[in-house]
Amino acid sequence: MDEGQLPDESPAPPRYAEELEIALAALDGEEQAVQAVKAILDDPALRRWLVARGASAAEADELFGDLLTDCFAGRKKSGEMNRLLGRYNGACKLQNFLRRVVLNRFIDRKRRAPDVVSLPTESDEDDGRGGRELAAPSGIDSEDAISQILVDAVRRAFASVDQEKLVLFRLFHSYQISQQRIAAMWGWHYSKVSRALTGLCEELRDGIMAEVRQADPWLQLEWEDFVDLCGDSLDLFDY
Amino acid sequence: MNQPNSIEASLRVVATFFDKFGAPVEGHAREDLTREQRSQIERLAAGDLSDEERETIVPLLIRNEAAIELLAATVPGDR
Repeated sequence: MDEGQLPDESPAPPRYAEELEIALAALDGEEQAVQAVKAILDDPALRRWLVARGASAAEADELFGDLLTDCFAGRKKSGEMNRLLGRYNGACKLQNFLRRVVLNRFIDRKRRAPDVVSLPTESDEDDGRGGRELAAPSGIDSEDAISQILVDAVRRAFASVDQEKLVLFRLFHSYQISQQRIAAMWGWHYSKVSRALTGLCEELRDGIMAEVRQADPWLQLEWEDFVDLCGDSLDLFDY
Repeated sequence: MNQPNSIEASLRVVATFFDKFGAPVEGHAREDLTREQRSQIERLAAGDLSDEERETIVPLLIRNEAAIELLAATVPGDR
């Protein structure tokens, strides 16, 4: 590098740059892009997905209607433009972003409903302020209710399993230590490590889903949803 | 949407999620290890700990990220 030349510190392009371009073009009013965004929001499969998560058909219609409006015409209380689509940064698929927003709004609506009682989360108990959003982990959007549901469920499930097996799990999944090496360290046969990890995975999956259902019984999340939402969180909050 | 095709693959996503968002909240502090703790971890990595010794070190590996990190770094590599 030449003396005095600054290193290239331009940020990496977003993972879904093409979808970000569509969103930006839609915000600029380009008809084809606007129609592409509307097509996502009008997709019956997306509404069916929300209904399957516990919303009524009327709630789904209303939530997606509001979402469409807010994508292009949202305003802050101050009157300043705050279009929802402007918050999309291309870190995940646009459909996933919109699905997450509508799920957050559905959760918020259900929790505000007078006939819905959600059990307190650990964070509620910790800070004593009774608000899930108040104790969002660093790096996570404090307005993202679903993130708090994921974190609480994972933390509780991880804390409730056999802690020795959890060490094996973290060595294998978080630190990429092979099961053969773990077996050598623990003085176990490889098959014992394998069985322990398989059993723990099932226990964690069941425990996580039990935590989700206990916290918000009306929220019909499936395991695949949970994993997808965790994956989206890693993309969305990877900064 | 990329759908993990097995429980193990899906748990890997969840583990990464926990590492990023759950562990810091959970209080998985990164504290300096004593010489004795380091020695025990190195012996575990070498497969030299008895069942009883291993049981006593598990809580440390759970609560102190530096401990499990050292264990992972010390184990003879095949990664």
